[in-house]
Amino acid sequence: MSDLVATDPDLTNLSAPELDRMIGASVRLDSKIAQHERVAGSTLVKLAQSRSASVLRNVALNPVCPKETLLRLAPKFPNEFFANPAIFLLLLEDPDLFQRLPVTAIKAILKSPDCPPSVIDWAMRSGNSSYALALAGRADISVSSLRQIATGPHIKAAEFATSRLMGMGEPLKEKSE
Amino acid sequence: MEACDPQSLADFALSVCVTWAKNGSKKDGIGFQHALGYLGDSRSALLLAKWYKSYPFNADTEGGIEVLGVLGLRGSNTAIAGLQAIARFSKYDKAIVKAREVLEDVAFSRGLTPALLEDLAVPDLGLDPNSRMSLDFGPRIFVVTLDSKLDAVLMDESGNALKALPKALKSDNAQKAKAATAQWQEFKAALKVQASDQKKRFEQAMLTRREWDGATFKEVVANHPLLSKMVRSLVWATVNGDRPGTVFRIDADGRYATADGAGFLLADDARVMLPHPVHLGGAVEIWLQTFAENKLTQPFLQLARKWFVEGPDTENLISDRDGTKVPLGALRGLKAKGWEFEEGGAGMVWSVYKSVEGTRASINVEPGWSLSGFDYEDFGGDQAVKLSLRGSDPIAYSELVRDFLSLPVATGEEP
Repeated sequence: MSDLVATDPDLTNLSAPELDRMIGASVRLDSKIAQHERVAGSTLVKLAQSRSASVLRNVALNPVCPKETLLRLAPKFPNEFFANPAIFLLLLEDPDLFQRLPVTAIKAILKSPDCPPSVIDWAMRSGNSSYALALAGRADISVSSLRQIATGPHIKAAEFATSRLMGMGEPLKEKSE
Repeated sequence: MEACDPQSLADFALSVCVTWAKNGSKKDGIGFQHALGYLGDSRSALLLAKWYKSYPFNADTEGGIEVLGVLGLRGSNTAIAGLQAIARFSKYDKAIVKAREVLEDVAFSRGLTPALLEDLAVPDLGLDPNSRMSLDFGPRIFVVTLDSKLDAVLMDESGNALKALPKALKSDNAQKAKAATAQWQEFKAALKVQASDQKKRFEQAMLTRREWDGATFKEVVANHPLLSKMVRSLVWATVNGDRPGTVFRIDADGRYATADGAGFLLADDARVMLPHPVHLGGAVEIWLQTFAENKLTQPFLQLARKWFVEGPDTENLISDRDGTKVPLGALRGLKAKGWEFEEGGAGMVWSVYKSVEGTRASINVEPGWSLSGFDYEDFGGDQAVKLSLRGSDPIAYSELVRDFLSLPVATGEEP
């Protein structure tokens, strides 16, 4: 195995078709190809079928990753999705891009420990009951956010948040000094 | 038969019946279920209850129904608890009716009300009066107890929580460790069924204003090895007329206390209820505070449950939802909460309704959907909803409004 690692080819100067021909040899190589700056979008689509998290992570990070593939990977790899340099351009082109993700995908992003704080803030303000419920279940949700959900209009989320506050030993309302 | 010991007969009956079920449970083998009823032990009662709760499994045939009678004849706590679970939670009307009949007969033959029989039949699953059970590996002993949600908590002798029962070591007593491991597996399987049933049973007791007399409450509910931890994470009340009198909880030491922490003596002739938050009103906040201070979680939603009283505030909440679009799946899901579909011409559903304690709620839906499974063009999909309510039972009113306001707003996505 160590021999294989030692003999990994140098990919630096390879072209997109050459990179495409090399996929599938090993997870380690696929992972390197997925982050290569010359890799073609169509190759990334193929690599997005991989069962390896490290390959998928690199696909989601690559700015040439096609939009549909990126959206498909977003629920599993929200950090990489938002860290992808192309995401801001895609959002400029299509401001509703994130909103167009299925609710289940956004819920998965919101439940992920890697979900960026900005997305949590956006979901808190969204007024969507499914998002509120997903946020109320986050292990790292702040007490003030839980209180906001507990006193909000979404019944299931409010009940769940209230139960969590009880178990955490936190009163429903902040004590006034 | 006389030459065989009961354990081997029970093993045999169980094995034959499981084999019969695995091979398609053909009708001419119904006698295998009867054998399970006559020869089986607590495992067979659990198995029969599980089958009848989840599957049709001949429940609509006379043979299948007879087996429920056999379960009643056994009369063990596990058998009774199984019958109660079928009576309350089975998807099959015929099985429900028969299970209720059998329970009434058993209660009558023992001079009890069905409700009291229900309490008396809760199994202890081998837990001691302090809700603990030891798993003896010889040199090592593990302890099992329960939390407020009736989940098992496994600990070593020093009180450190364990995720799973450790495997036996060479230094352990192999025979004891094997028996303890089997005991643990059996306990976990039985607890899974009991925890779910008991939580639903007590939630139902809250919704239906079930009452106990003080003596019975203390003996068969508050001090029951399986129930006591759960009971201590709920708020209770004495009954004064049809309203709650003194509201109390039972603390970790088994002491009865009011919200301000003062001790409280429950008289044997007092009546006790599990108050719905609509009965507690403003006191809900105080109790939430008390529970938060003690980091208590509840087995089902009592204090955290949203509640609604008739008046302009609730009417505004309801009217704000008028015409809101709701995903069809969410409306179909109301069936699991006891709502019915009102079927109009050509099998179309135009409204969903539920009646409880003389209070009736009806949700008109537009454009409606077809029960035949074939949704014509322009029907099916997201539905605009409008709620109308009649009646004044406070718990029923609150629960019906809660169901309605819990419906999610449609996002316009394809299902």
